[in-house]
Amino acid sequence: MDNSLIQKKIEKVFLKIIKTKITLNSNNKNVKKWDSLNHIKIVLSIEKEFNIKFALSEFDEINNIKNLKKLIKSKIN
Amino acid sequence: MKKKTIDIYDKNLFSYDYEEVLSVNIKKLNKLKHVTKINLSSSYTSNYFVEFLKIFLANKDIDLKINNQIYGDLIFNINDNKSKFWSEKCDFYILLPDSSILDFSLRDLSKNQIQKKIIADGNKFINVWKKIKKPLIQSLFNQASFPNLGLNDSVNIKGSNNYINLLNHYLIKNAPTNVTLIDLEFISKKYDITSSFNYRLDSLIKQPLSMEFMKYLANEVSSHINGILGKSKKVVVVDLDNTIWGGVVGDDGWKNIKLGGDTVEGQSFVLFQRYLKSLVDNGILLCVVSKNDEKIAKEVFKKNKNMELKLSDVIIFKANYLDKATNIKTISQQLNLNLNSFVFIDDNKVECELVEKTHKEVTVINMSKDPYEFVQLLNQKSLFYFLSITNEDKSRLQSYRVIGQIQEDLKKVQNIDVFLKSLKPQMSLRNIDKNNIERVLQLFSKTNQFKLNNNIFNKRFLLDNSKKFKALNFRDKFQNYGIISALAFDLNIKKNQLEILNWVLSCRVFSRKIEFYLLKEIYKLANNNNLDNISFNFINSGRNQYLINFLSNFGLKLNKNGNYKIKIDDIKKYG
Repeated sequence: MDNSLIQKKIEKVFLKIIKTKITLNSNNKNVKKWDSLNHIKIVLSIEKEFNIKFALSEFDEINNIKNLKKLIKSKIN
Repeated sequence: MKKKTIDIYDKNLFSYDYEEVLSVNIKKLNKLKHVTKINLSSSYTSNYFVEFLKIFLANKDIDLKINNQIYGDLIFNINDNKSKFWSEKCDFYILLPDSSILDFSLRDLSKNQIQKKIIADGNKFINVWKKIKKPLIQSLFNQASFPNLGLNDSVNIKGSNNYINLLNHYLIKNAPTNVTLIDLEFISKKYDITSSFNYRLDSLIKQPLSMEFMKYLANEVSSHINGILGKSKKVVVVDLDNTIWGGVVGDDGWKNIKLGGDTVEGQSFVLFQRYLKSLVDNGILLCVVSKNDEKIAKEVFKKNKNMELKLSDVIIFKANYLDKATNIKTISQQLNLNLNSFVFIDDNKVECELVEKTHKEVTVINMSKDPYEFVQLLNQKSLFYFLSITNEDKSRLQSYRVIGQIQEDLKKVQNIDVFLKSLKPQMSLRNIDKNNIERVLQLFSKTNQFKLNNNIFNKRFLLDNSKKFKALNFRDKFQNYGIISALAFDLNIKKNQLEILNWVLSCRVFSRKIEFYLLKEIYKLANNNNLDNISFNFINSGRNQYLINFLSNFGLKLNKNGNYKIKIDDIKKYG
């Protein structure tokens, strides 16, 4: 899966869950609706979208889009 | 605007937008919002549950306001009288405990001690139930996070899962009528989804059940609330060909339709008919609407031995070539029942779409799948709510058949009063007693069209205040209808008025002028107690139009407080 497709799929999930258009620089501090309740929804939806599973320890690492992308890549390749 | 419906099977759990569902279903349909206030306490994170619950209730045109949502300290909160759980007014209580609040140190206890411990744990909740008058919905305990006794855990007296089973059983045995218990294992089987302890979400967010499970639990709770509010379905309209049997009777003949164990499909249709029959036995009204020749269609019911459903199970049989939406409308008029209490079941997509488009209130189920799935398709919608089966439920079938006949005769007669008298009506106003209390409770919760307001009473309140209630029994030359009306009132000497707290009348006896008889009785009640005014505690529920028409035709006027009020001298004018 190429980089831009991953980015597109991530954007799709964020748009659906928190109705926010995210960029590569987005994180849970500069995106207002990315709170702890929505965080679980987002991560579970990302798992479904990419058919992957995150470890418990990775849930906290997913606090910005760059990290999220890196983690997804490591799991789908 | 098309009503937005929610598919509970949608794999994408979080694709719903609460505000959108609410606005499309309620605001745009310009309906009166039914706001339900809930106090909720849980022993785990319930935010996601609440989100799902809001969605499912919005889908049923109910706007949910959670007064307070307390989690983590369930036992502490419900036992603390000062907690918000008790201080805020609400329409419903919801309690969601989980097995993590239980102590499973059972190893050193004797069988007797374990029994006592079960009773002590159970009584923590039973004592709470005693304090509550409003409806309360509580989930039973889920399975323990790990088995204390390995392979034998659920069958050995010292096993944690056995303990949970016994405790759940104790709670079920002691639940009063205003407490609804929800069995998580039952949901698990119904939706084919595991209710096992979810270690991942428990670690992440302190939620011991999966997100999918929370969704189905919320769906079940929403159906219970809908049922308690008297909004569950009362009428099932079914098509015939390829819906309750396989094949087309007009082409194949009554002998050759697929029904019974000879064919694979035939067996599925038998099962589906048995399910419909069980609904009929519980008081659901079954009607047939089919594009068929009536004689040919009825022949199957009379001659095919594999038919589980008999003609006597069907209240109204419409086999003709009119469109189905028109037929359904006619049925609703004949039965005096609102279309939103209707379910329509048909294998044909076009028919389903037509009914859905014409009558947005009707729940339409398209049985386009394999017939073996029919039972599950209908069951998983959780449309029916049976509180308790009273004698009136059993006789309902017959009375609806009589209604059809009376409606037909009414069209022909010149003088309605003479005609009604010829039916030899007999009414008797009774006090509340053990024999009629279940029926009175049911009337208050189930009635919609002739009901002053949505206040429901629980059994204990009725028994304690039995002098403030009256029940009306009605019979005519056809049958005894049982208790068909109930009245709750208060003699307010200070204000010099008789206050009618609530008044319900079953729609089965509309157009029999019973309401006039009762109004006279109300007048007498005020007169005998030397009270000069009568006030009706009225709230527009959006569904009680029949009552509004009656009261305003009678000259009663809405006052500032939203109550209908009249001086008893004025009532004399109307005879």
